[in-house]
Amino acid sequence: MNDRAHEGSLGGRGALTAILLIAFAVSLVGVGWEDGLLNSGGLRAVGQIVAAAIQPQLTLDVLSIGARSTWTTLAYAWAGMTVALVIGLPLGIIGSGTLVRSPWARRWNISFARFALAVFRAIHELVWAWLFVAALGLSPMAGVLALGLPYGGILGRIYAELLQDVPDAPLRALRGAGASEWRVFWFGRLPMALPDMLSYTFYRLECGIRSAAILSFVGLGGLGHNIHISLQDIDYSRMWTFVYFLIALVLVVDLWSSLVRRRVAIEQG
Amino acid sequence: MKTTSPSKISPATSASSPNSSRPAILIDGAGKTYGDVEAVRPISLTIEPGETVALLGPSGSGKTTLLSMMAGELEPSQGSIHLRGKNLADLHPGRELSREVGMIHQQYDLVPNLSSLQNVLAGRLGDWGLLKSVISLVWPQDRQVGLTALEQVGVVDRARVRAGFLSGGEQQRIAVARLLVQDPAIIIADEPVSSLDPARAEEVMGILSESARQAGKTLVASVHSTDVARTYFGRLIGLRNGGREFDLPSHLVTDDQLDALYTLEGLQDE
Repeated sequence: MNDRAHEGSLGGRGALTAILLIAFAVSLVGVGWEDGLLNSGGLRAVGQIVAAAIQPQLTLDVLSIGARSTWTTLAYAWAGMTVALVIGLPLGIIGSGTLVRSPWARRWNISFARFALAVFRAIHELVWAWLFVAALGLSPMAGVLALGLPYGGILGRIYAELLQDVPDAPLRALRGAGASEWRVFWFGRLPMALPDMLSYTFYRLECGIRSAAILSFVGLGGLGHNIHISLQDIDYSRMWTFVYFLIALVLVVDLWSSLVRRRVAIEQG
Repeated sequence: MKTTSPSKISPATSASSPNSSRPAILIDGAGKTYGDVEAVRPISLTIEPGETVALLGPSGSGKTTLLSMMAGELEPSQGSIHLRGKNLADLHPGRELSREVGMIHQQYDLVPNLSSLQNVLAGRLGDWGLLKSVISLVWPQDRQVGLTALEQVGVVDRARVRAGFLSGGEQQRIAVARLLVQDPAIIIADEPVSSLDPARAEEVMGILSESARQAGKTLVASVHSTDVARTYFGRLIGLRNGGREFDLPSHLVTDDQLDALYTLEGLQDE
């Protein structure tokens, strides 16, 4: 029974690959390569931008704006990740189908949660932002929700897969000791999947910072907003100051995540 | 898939009658086939409460299959198995089954991210409520029970260390301690030779049989060293090609019988 299912999916996968390859080939033809993809005056601008990179504007004024907008961007990313966790963790757990034993209930759990997660994920945070700005106006809530919904969809999907991919032998041993699926989940599945879940969540926080910067172009404030304004003023050295703030922020989060991951790794062996 | 278990033996008439009068394990013509391959030929045997039984035989002789069937992890293709008068097929997986029988596997099957103590206390999961289980992840409950078991297998100093950090021998001791905490009436053990060196494996088997003897439990184990089998076990069963070669009290098993058990395998290559 299992073998046949695999064969079927293999045939389907071959067809899918072919369709994707054809779509890719067609898209190459579809791009208008000859007209106007390159800006003729661009080369000079590139020179100016590169030159400005080594002399960012470091006045107290700009630095304090940079610091404050870094804080804003981080706050958006953080709040967005919180929303994402509230969505992604429960749906990911349900979507892993690991809390129920009967195949029928498992299929329902997986289908329901995966569908909900796919809907959140299918729409890009920028599109969510337009929708929420239209609905709620230029409020922080719009930015946080715009970030949280698609990120929740992504987190949930990855969580579901990490929870499914845990080695089976320890779980079987727990069942042998009389544990129900819920206890097996808490005592076996979750602890074994946790380091990877944590590490992926940190990676997503990094992505969230970049997305929060982009979302501020929509008018929500933060580093992206200031980069946007500097570009409009053709003030490249000022722009670089904010870009460096952004890079520093991502680096700090990366450092923090590797510290946390190292601790988890040492403790789990 | 379909199991027809025409049990000729009348099952337990009342669950409350004393267990000592009933055999711990009663196997009635149970066998396992995979397609055309007979992993275990239909076998019938009776094991009394408190007996320590070693299964001997070359690899591929059906030891693991037979043990898994006794532990309720594998359904026999035919025949039936009764544990202390109850049909194994009728026992509800979970608490009901885990009180009757527990199994030690060849491979490590601890949760590597949890401490040794938490792994040992997982033997209690059948008795704990869900809330207590979750609380126990942060503050281990019933600590003393777990520490006593760890002491019994000689690794109490490793209680706080995560299981993934321990050596193979230590991990197997933790698995034994977890089984002691689970406290089933019957202990099934598949000797961990593939994951441990012979000396470590012997140590673990020694600890296991001593603990079982002290607690008056029934123990059935696959054993690779004939010396270990004779030292620690009261009864030896020789298996070859899925069938029984001998079944004797350990002091009656001769060296010739043991030699035959292992050497014939090569000559009878089919």
